Amino acid sequence: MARPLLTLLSVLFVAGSALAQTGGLRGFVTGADDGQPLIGATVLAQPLDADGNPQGDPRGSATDIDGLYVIPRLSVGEYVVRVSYVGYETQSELVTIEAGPIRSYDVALPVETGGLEVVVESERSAGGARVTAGVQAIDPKDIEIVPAPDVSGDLVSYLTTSPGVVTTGDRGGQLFVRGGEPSQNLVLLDGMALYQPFHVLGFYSAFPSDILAGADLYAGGYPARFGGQVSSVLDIQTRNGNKRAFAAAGSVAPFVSAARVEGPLVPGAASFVVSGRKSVVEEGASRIVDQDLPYDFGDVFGKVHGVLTPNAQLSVQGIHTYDRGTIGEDVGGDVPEEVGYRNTAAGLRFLYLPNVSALRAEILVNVSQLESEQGLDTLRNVPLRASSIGRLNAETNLTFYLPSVDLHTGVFVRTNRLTSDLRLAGGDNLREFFTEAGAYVEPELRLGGLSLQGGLRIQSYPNDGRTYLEPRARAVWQGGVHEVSAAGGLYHQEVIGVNDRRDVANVFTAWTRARQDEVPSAWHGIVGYRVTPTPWLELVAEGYVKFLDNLQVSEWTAFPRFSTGTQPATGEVYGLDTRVEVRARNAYAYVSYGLAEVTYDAQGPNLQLWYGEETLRFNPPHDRRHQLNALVSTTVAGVDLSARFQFGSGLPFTRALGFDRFISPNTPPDVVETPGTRRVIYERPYNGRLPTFHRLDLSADRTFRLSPGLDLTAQVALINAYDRANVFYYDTFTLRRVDQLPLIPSFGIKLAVND
Amino acid sequence: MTRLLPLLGLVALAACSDAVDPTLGTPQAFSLYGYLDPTASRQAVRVAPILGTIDADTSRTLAARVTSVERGTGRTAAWRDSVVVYRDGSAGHIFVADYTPTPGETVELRVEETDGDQRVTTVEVDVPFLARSEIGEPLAGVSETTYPVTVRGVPRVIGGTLRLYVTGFPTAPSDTTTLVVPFEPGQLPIREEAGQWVATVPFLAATRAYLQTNGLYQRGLTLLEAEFAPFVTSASWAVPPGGLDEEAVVEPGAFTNVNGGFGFVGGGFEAPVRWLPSPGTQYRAGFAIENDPAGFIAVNEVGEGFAELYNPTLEPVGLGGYYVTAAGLQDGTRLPLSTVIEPGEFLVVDGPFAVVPETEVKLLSPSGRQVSRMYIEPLTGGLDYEQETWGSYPDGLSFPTRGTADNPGTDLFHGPLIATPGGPNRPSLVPAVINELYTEGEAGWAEVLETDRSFASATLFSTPRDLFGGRRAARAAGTPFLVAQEGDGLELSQSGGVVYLLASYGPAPDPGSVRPQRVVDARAYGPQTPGRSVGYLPDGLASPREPDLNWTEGLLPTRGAPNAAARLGL
Repeated sequence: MARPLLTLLSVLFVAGSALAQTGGLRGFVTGADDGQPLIGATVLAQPLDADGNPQGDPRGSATDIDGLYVIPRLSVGEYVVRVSYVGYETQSELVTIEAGPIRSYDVALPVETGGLEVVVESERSAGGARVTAGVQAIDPKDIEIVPAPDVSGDLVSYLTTSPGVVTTGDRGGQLFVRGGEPSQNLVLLDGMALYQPFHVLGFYSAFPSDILAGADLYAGGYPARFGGQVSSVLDIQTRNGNKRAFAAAGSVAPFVSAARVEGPLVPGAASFVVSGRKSVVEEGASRIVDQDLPYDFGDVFGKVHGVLTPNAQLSVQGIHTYDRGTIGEDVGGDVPEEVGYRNTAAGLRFLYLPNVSALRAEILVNVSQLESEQGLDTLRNVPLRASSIGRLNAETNLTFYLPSVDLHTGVFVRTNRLTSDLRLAGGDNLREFFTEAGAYVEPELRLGGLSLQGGLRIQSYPNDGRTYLEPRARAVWQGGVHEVSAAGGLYHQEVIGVNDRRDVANVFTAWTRARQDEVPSAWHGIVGYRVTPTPWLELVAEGYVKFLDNLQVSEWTAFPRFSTGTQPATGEVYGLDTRVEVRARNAYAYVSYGLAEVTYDAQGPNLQLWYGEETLRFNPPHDRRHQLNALVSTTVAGVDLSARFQFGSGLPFTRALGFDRFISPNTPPDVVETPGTRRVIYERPYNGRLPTFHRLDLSADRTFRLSPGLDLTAQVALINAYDRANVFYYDTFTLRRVDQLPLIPSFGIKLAVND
Repeated sequence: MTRLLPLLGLVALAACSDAVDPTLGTPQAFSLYGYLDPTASRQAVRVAPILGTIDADTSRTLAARVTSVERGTGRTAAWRDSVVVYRDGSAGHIFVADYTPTPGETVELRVEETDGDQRVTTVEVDVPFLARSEIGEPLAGVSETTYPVTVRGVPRVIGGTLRLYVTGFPTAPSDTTTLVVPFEPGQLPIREEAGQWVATVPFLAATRAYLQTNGLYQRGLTLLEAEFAPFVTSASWAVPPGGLDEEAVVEPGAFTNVNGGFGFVGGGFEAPVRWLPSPGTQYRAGFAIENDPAGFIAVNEVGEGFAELYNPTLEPVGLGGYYVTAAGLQDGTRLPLSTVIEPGEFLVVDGPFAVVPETEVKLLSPSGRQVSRMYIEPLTGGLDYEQETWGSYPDGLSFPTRGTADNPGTDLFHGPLIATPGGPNRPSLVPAVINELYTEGEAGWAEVLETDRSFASATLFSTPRDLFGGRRAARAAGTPFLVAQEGDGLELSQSGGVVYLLASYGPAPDPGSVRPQRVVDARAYGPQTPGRSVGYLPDGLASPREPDLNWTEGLLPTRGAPNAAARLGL
């Protein structure tokens, strides 16, 4: 496979090289204030005639996650290059394109002065309704609008406003994206995989908004450069740090305290950012709500970014998160077990732009690991169950900017390690090491308002000869205020997370490789329509399907204890997500509604015995049929006011007929000596529905300028403002009710220097 | 008003029901567990109420009434509730009945709620016919010795229990201790072939693992006897050879014969068989043995010109180069090198042997070490019997009693015999016989018939090691019959067993002396029909050489009275 690939790359390299009578333009767009890349900035090159008048159609490009734009194959001549970005002053300049090597033209846009925090503009690339073929671009500024018990925003709070994202509760940090399971989500932070990056308390993830540069949520139909997971991709980019001046911020709130420092290492060329958060739940929120909240979590992130040369950048980053807590409550029966998990990841990213070619090359080398455990074997002082997953990843991603075509391609190689010590009857302890390698090619053709993106990904596991070929496709047509998009593809997941999904409070996941011929796979299909009838209004509707195969779902047994027993299943997901976004002069509103149905068909050897049917068809516990989110934000007298209302129809759960004892018939029972096992006589799995979920969260923020460069932000928030008793779950084994968090008043302050 | 709408909406939402009932309830009332045992006089069934909460208080009296009736015989039984608190602190309701189900019958057990909806849970239980187990020749390998145990003519065997009767247990070295050896999953293969069920008992591997795990391996335990008790069940107790998948059958209704409830109540019983493994097998398993592979070979009978050896084990034993002698090594008869004595067989050795009181015949190893001996005691005076030979009765058994300076003591299993070289021994003096046996749970009895005026008293017991724990028989007034009630060392199982009669007989002894005591009868019996007895009809031993003559099954129990055949229809 290597030789044809090299040949292809050589051809593309030549094709991407500057040809006679043409040149090209590329560069980085950054903020003049801090040197951060501006993602999604618009760059237009308008050709001029000899008299300096506009001639012909302008050529344009939007900047990517590095602030990079590339406009290849420009005819030799004079151009007016206009660079614009929301909140920054637009800059125009005369640029001469000559035949030969592509020209570098970097732009640092000054911040717009006197503007409003809520900006009305039409060329935005992010926002609640800015969804195209399943991809939602998330701007960190939008995250901070969502009310949360923290002065700074957190990505997870924003994600839960998306109509296709379901959470099972305030605790556990489990996100289900358009019918997929948490272990089927791929989360990348600057290219590093994070396996369980959401904290045990559902308001927090490892991603505070002030370290984020942007994020893309692919709820399905994601392109060929992503693989290995069958549900969704969350691709997060972090800030590089301020290259002009030192800045710092610290905050205190009832749930978390946080601190961040950033600044230049080499002014204008190299910068760093360090951020850390630590939960103070037991000392703070627990006392406020007068409820036992045994959670301890935190995260620390660090990054160094440097501009090595005008066409080469290098960043080194690392993150560590930890979580520990008891998700379930003690409602009788077995005492809930404590769960803990730790993510660690580190890596480097090298970005290179050859002078002689319209090519973007990215090299990623990183290592990721998740360790998780549950319970404690008090005799040996070791966890009752433990599992870990880790990988060493090396990949190269190339983009060739060809005429009318951007060709994305790349290769990767990874070594993976999985361990499980489950201490269950029958074993299930394992140590696995395996290698995967693969490549993808993803041409993106632009014809006027039509963008067509094909894709093919090949992923191979040479140790045991498994290879997957995954076609992908994506199409977007834009005409005036309308946009129609579609995406689809085939996905496989070699490493599966097994957990006891019967019990919502049980977030412990054991990672293992799928057995031969039982590798989960999924077909995704998405069709979307977006319309922007006025600059302040945007509406989008997306229909989607996912057909899932070879899922491993929890097997129902009446033993009231933890189990990782699974049975194979297929799944079908149908849904419609709609969103309306309003950006008025001094107000922002966003309403989303999701209609979805997730259905699993399980095939287990015992189903015939139990239910008289070979297949058990059910809606899994994350099948939220209706979900509504409304977000309103405005500024009154310098106070930022936000309100968020959530409504969700009841999630499936399994009801019981009663409780009794079970004594095995395998041996003659001595009924005087044998107590038997407690047993739950379940109805068919997930035949019941929990009550509807709804909640109102409110927040008010006011920033006070104490002195130039020194700001104090005070926040008051009410989470669950009308103290709705939402059911978190019914304990699977006792059928006792556990509620989500009650009304939580929150007060926080944040002190920022040069922020 | 418009401004109030959102507020009203919120109030309406807040008022939305946030309750749901997670427990639906069920028309099923109880889950039942246990089995009906046709060899036991007391039956026990767990009645677990199906509750609305997992931690409902079950320690109080259960509002339930339990009755049973046999479909064929119409026999009924009354069951009573008893609350048991288990080791895990939970409480359970065990309903018990003093009742022995009739083999082959179908019993309907009925549990009725006595309050509330008065729901009814029933179960029909097939009670299997009784049967005995037989042990076959062992299969010995490098690391394993297995024993096939066969049960014929039964619907199903679903497992079994291996018990070891030992002495030398660290906390009670002189007592007989019973050890129960567990099997690993799949370690006890059970198969059905040609209408019989065969369990292959992994004696060596299971015993060795058990002794090693419990720190008893090669720690001086002496094995008295091994017992394997296959568990015979009715056909409906359909546990496959590998066992049922408990993750599957835990599902209510997945494996049940209960109507109006859940659980499973079967019919079954243990059919035990006992044996003595060879010295080699015992040693490898971890027991203390005499350091000779022929250690269990007994000098069984001595007569004019011959001595008889007996192999009581289940394995052949080579005796090449061994000596049988009435004197020293040099005067003994050396056995040919190819000599092998098969399991349960006799070997007659010709030589200068004779029944000379106060002499002995010994089996010596090639090195001259004594392996076993037969001491010929002084003849008891004042008795009218014909002594032909001297030896063990029953074969191979020995229980020497402590003697004095003047009296070397006696062996309770040794005595004068009718000459039977190469065959099972028979005593030549039988002052009393076992005349009738009746089993009824734990309330059975054994009847003894006095057959000689020299008879003085009788004690009955079930296993040789319980010789002194037996039950003394009491005379039925004005009759030659004596009766011993079941208990202590006399166990009369419904599924069969062996009863030994230890008789004291002879003329009134001199002051300071006691009458000789010897085992003079032993009777094996098979599975018993409830309400019937087994014994001689007519009463008494017809011929000393034919002890089974006139031994009849299915008698009407006639305790302390002449035996009688059952009448038609009774």
